[in-house]
Amino acid sequence: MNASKRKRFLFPRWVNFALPVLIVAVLGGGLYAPTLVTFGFSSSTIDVGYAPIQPVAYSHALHAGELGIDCRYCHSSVENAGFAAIPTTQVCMGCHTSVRNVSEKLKPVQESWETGKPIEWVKVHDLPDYAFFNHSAHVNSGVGCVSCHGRVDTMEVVYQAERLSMSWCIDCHRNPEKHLRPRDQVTNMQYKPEAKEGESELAAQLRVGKEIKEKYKIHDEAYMTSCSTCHR
Amino acid sequence: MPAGADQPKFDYINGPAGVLEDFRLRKLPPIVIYVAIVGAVLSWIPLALIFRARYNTSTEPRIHFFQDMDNQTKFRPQDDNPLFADNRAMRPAVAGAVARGQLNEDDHFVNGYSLVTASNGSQEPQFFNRFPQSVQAQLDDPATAQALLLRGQNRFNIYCAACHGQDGQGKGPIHLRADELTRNGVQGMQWVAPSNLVDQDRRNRPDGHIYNTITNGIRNMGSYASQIAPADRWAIVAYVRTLQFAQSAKPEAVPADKQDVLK
Repeated sequence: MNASKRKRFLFPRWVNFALPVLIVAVLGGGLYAPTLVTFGFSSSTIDVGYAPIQPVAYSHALHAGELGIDCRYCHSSVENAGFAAIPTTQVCMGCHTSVRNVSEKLKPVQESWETGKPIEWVKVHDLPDYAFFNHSAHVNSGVGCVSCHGRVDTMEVVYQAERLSMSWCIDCHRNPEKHLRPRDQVTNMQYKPEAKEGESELAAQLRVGKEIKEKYKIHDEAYMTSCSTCHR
Repeated sequence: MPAGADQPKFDYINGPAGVLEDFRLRKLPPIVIYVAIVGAVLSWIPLALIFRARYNTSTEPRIHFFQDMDNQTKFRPQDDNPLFADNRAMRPAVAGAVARGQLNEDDHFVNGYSLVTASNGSQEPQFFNRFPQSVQAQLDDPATAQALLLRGQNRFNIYCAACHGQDGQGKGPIHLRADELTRNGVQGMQWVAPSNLVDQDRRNRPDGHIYNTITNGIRNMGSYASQIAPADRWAIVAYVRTLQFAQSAKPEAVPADKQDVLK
């Protein structure tokens, strides 16, 4: 076979479509990939909404919501320590020796009470280990429980309501007045600052927040956003 | 003379073997169309998963793309440690160990009673009917008394009011609920109504007795020692005394400059 008889390769006609198709694909993919990364890797997608199955079917909606038990009744270390302790079995048994003590749901609690083996609750809000977080510093500065934990008093099963990412922390550290409240309202899940006549809710919050920032001597932005404030 | 100029000009359209292609615009091969359609449809799946993750809760562990040093091999409060049989990383104190600041030498402040030998030779607790010196000093000084009582009120409303009610009369939300469950015949109810803290019985109780009740519990009520520190327990006792006083006070007891409030 000689060279002139060999069939030369020519691109097929439909390749003429390749350019518009390619443009559409590049534009589409160029939108698609960042969308996927932005939303897919966002803490709102991968962290928020985590609601592990707990060893006891305990309802915050009943205890903290309906019955109105203060958060600190059980999480009693929150004002004095960095860690807001999960209550001991004794705290549960304080009431439940005489309330519904034959309930199936209480079995793990009673077992723990009898054996002395702690109930292994699953941690819902878990910060990275290199982030220094202190509950007492926040609670005593007028940061409400609800600001980071959401409306726990309405949750049958506790889930992570906020992002707990660094940018989320920094947002508040830059503008704490958006979230500050009087210390005696810290555990109030429905706190709203009292608005003056004709004042919007946000304006009232900013006014109250600024007063509280002054009163509780909250650090300035330079300190609040310094690396070593949270990474020690 | 440029290179190749002597070669014959190549006929791109006809080529050496004549026309090779027709000019009709052929459709894309079916396979390309199918792949494009399937790709376009599949590309929605990650988006749908992201949408679902954003608007639902999940019992699955969080997806953690970048570990960095997020989970370090160290123990934080209340972590688990499989090294120990009870899985606790925080070890319970060895018997006899005294933590700093918890030597608890002062019977009055720490227990509210002292043990005295009764006539039959047994050791009986005798409750102090006054506040420990450090607490009394705070109550005597008007500058600190209000802060102490407000602290007592704050702690009372957290730990006591749930059953005893904010007025101390024993009608707190937990009691109302437990009472309702009992009346509805719910199984496993052995509820005993909480005491009215402002009745004559409770007025006659020594301060140390009330303190001891908070510390060790009484009848149905469990111990609050793990939740309330000794100083706060005394603040609560002081506040209970305030409630008792306030709920039987005569109008004359209100200072002259605050009489307006009563009107």
